[in-house]
Parts: sequence; C-alpha cells; structure tokens
Amino acid sequence: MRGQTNLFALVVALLLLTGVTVIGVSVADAALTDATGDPRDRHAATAVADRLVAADAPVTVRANALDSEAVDALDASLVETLAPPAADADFRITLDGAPVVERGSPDNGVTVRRSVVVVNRSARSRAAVDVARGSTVRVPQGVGRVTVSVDPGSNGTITTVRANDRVVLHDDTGLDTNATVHLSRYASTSLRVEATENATGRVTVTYRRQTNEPRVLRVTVDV
Amino acid sequence: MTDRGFVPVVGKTLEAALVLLYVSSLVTVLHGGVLPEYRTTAAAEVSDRTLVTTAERIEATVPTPGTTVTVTRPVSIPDTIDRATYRVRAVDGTLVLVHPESRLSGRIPLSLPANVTVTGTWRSDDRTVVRVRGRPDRIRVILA
Repeated sequence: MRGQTNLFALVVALLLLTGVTVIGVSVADAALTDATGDPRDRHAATAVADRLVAADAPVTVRANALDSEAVDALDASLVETLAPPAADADFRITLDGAPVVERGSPDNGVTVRRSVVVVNRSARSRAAVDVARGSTVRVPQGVGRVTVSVDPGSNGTITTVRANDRVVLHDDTGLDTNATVHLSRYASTSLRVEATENATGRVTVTYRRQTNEPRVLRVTVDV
Repeated sequence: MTDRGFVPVVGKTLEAALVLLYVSSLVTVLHGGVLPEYRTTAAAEVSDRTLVTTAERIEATVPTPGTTVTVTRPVSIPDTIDRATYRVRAVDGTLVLVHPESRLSGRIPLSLPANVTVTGTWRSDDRTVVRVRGRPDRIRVILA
C-alpha cells in the first residue's frame, strides 16, 4: 500500500510537469507568432514615407514640402514606382486623417508618420497700375516671385520699378519689358512705378500666392 | 509471506520505469517535433530581420542625388543563421539572401532614388561594407 501512495504522488508530479511544459511551449509559440511579419511592413512603410517626402520626389517642391496639386494627382501606381517595397501591398496614405491614396485594407499594417508642409499655390492674381492715375501696387505676404510687365503708353516713359524702395527694374530711356522680380515672402511689398510726367503707360503685376500648411503624413502598409 | 518483501522493490521499479518512460517521451516530443520547428521559425525570423535591417542600412547610405561622394561604411550582419553561413546579393534593385536552407532564403525590394544602382555580394562570415561612389549623374552602391 505504501508503494502505491508513492506511485500516485509520482503521477501527480509528472502531470504537473507536463502542464508546465505545455504552458512553456505555448508561451514560446505566442512569442514567435507575435514576432512574425512585422519588419517587412515597417520597411515598406518607411520606404514609402521617405520616398514621398524626399527632395527629388514628384510630389514635393523641396524636401518635406508636398505640392498640393501633385498630392491630389497621386495614385497607387505612382506610389509603387516610387517605393518598390510597397508593390502588391495594401497601403493607405493620409494627410491629417484625410485619405490621399488607399488600396486594400492595411489595418494590420505598420504606420509611419512624417511631419510635412503642404504647399498650396493659388491661381494667378493680377494687379495693374495705370501710370496716369496711380503709382503703387501692394503684393501680399507669402509671394516670392512676381511677373512685372511694363507697357509704356504713347506719352512719356516709365523709368523705374521699386519694391519697398529697392530698385528692381530701371532704364533711363524707358522700360518696355516683361520681367520676373524676386521679393521677400515674409512681408507684404509695395511695388512703386516711377515715370516721367504725364506718362500714360500701364504696369501689370502677376503673381501666385503660396500658403504653407503643416500636416502629418501617415503611411500604413501591410505587405 | 515472502511476497511482502517484494512490494517496495516492485513499486520502486515501476516508479523508475514510469519516470524513464516519461522523460524519454518528453525528449522525443520536444526534440523530434517542437524544437527543430522552433529553431527553423526563429532562424527564418532572424533571416527576415537581417534582410530588412540590411536593406534599411543600404538605403540610409545612399546620399542625395547630385552629390559627388565616396563613402565606405561597415554593416554588421549575423555571421550565421541556423549554424550556416549565407550570402547577401543585390540583383536589379532587389536584395537577396541566399541560405543553404531554402526556407531561410528571402528577397526584399530596395527603395532607392532614380539613377542609383546597387551591385555586389556579401559573405556573412567575411567583411561586410557598403561602398558608395556618387557622381552628379548617378550613384553606384557596391556591397563588398
């Protein structure tokens, strides 16, 4: 009888040991399952995000500055061409939550975020000065480049165009030109036209206003 | 009445046999199925991660286009995966890991700017460096 008590204890001990082994194996199994598949998603997501914000990407005007028109034109095949790791993958690209490109459902993928600036260029604005009546045009802040076209009328000559007192165009014998003038984008500028007395010409200023909005670019890829 | 003397002996023998049986079955199960499978799975994971990390290192080495540059940068990769050496090759913009065990081989596309070509082969137990030869019009990346 005493021998059988020992046997019983042994069987219980072995059962416990089996239980511990099974638990250990399943924990190891879970750890392996958790670790699978992650790095490729991360690589693809990083690749897409980095290629999209690179200075030489077709959707940027410079590094980390996206052109809003080009972003609207972005599609899945262009993303694939830019970043081959995303080929055949499900991905979603959003700007502050607004979807830009989406293919499939990459909900199990890895998300990478980048801070970007979205550059939005408005349609051309145009302002004209009739030299006979006025002499200044105000260009708003945020414009770095204007096209000034000088049409000297029949009377007198237009000699100088100044931007905030800086001479940008000048010809003693009279301006008759179509020139690009660079301005500071950090302040508004007044363009002043100087002409001889009784001049009747016309000066037209054309520019595109540019706004920069900070956004968060989110790229989710599930390979 | 000699039977009574045998009871403990029989009992102990039975216990010993049971323990032996248990241990041997456990060893058989673990070493026969579970362990090799885990080893392969872990090795596949290591191989995958090696490939991805190497690809990221190579991508990070590439300078912005239009620069003239010569760089040699070491990249550390595991000497062996599942106790075997392997090779890493760059073919047509794809990084290929060639392992004697086909389950542990793999490939990953590289994400590079235009005008960048990657060539060369690494042996895992040899020196592994990335050489970058950049000229304004194109950049060559060599695994050596």
